[in-house]
Amino acid sequence: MSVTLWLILGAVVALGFYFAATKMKLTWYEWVLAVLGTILILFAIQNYSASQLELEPRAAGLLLLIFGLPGVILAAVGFVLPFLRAKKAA
Amino acid sequence: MPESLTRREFMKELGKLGAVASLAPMVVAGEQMSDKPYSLKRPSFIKEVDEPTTEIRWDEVKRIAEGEVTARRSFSKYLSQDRLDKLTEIRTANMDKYIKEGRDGYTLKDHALKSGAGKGGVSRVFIQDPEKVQTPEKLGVPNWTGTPEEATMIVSAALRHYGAGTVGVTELDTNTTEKLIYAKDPDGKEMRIEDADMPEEGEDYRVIPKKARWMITYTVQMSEEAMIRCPTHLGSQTTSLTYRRSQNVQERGQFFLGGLGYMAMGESSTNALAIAPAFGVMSGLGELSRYNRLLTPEYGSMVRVFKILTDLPMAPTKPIDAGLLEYCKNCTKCADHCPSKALSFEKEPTWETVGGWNNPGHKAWFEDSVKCRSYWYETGNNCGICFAVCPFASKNLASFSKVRDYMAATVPAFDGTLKKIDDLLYTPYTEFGKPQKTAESWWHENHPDYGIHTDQTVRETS
Repeated sequence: MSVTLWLILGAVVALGFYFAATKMKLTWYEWVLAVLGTILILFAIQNYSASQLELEPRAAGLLLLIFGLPGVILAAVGFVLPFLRAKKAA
Repeated sequence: MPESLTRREFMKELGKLGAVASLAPMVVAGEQMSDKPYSLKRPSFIKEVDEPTTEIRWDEVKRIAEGEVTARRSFSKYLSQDRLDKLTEIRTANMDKYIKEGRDGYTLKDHALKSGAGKGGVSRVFIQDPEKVQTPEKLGVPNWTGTPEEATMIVSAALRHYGAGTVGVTELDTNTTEKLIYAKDPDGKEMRIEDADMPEEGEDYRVIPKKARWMITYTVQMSEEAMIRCPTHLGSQTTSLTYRRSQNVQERGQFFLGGLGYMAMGESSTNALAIAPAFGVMSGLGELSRYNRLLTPEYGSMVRVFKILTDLPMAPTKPIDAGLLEYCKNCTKCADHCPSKALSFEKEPTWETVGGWNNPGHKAWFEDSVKCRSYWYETGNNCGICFAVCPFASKNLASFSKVRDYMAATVPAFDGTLKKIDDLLYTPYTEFGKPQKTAESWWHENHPDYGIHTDQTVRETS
């Protein structure tokens, strides 16, 4: 994955966290889940793209699944819970 | 900036550019390179150790005659003439059959590729012709001098520039590492270590001056993407190509050392001079593996190992513990996949050798070289499956590789699990004795120069 793409991805993640910090009220455990989830997703993306470069498509797919799926679940829980809470409060 | 600056003015100008901070250590050192102990730039979990992870009983180690002992040169010594004739017959028949039926990895284009890969290397020589070497004396200047650390630094820089991967140095000790120099070279010439001024070569001998105490050991990378097509012509040609490249590295290295004003004794033929994996272990380039070859932290099994001996005083590099030998205890992947069943399945390395081709005095997973080399006759090439299936034979672009290396070095209890993960990710359905990928697919892929990833750089530059 090129440096430019990582830069864009970094900007998206930074914007996401900025939005979460300013517009959403996350509890400490939601922050933990969101950060852990994001790290796992980034790890999955790096391993997927690097394994494709390594000409190992099977490893690429499996690493994306192994790290990406729990990452998405954790991040989703971390970011969705505050939404549900806000909706309930409204 | 003014056109002509004093050093003070120059530094002042650089300071305006905000660069002083980054150059400060160099200035403090008086424009000299650092004399701190030289080492490869490696992750902290790769520990430098005083004794290698391979246990050695130096009093039992003897200098061996390469040409008379190893199965590489003396294969016929270990089996009957009838068996040898039969193997030769099998090889001829198989090669004829495979190319005519267009077997994957043995097609005409694969054959041609291998043929080309075996070309291009200059002839190996023990010592370069003094007439051709541009010595400092010929240039009217004194020999290069510097600290041993600087010497290791510049030799490493030069050899890497010439095509080496990693570079290590062993300072010879008469009672230990000197015994790893062959008593006889592959061509049968006696290797005499004497109080001589200069190296010398005669009809049946070579003289190594006692003052040449520094064995430079270097790796040259092989292509993992080619090697996983073993055992085929396409797979094995990366070995041929690597040997040819190493010949050029050696010649350039010999001229470089000669150009500095020092002697440089190289390998007079493939695998000459000294036991390569042993010096690889002693100089910290890697650890001894279950397949009984050098396994490196940077390139895994994807290397060949070479040597140059010099009298240029150099800072030795220390052996390492990267958890690789420990990992091999829990991983039998090379042995599992070995078509000739030549590799050991024992959990622990042993002192007991398998045959006369093994060099006793160290603890290893000794291989049955006769079984191994007999299989080479069937495939028509040097197999290489053990190198190819090794979990550390990876390109290390995916960050999971770093996690694997860290876990292998720090949590041995996890080694078995790492092996299972490797099976799952990389070699799940490999048919026994067959390539992991089709040779045909190699021709359609985009590979880097020489098929190697040279960005796994590990050289300390300060």
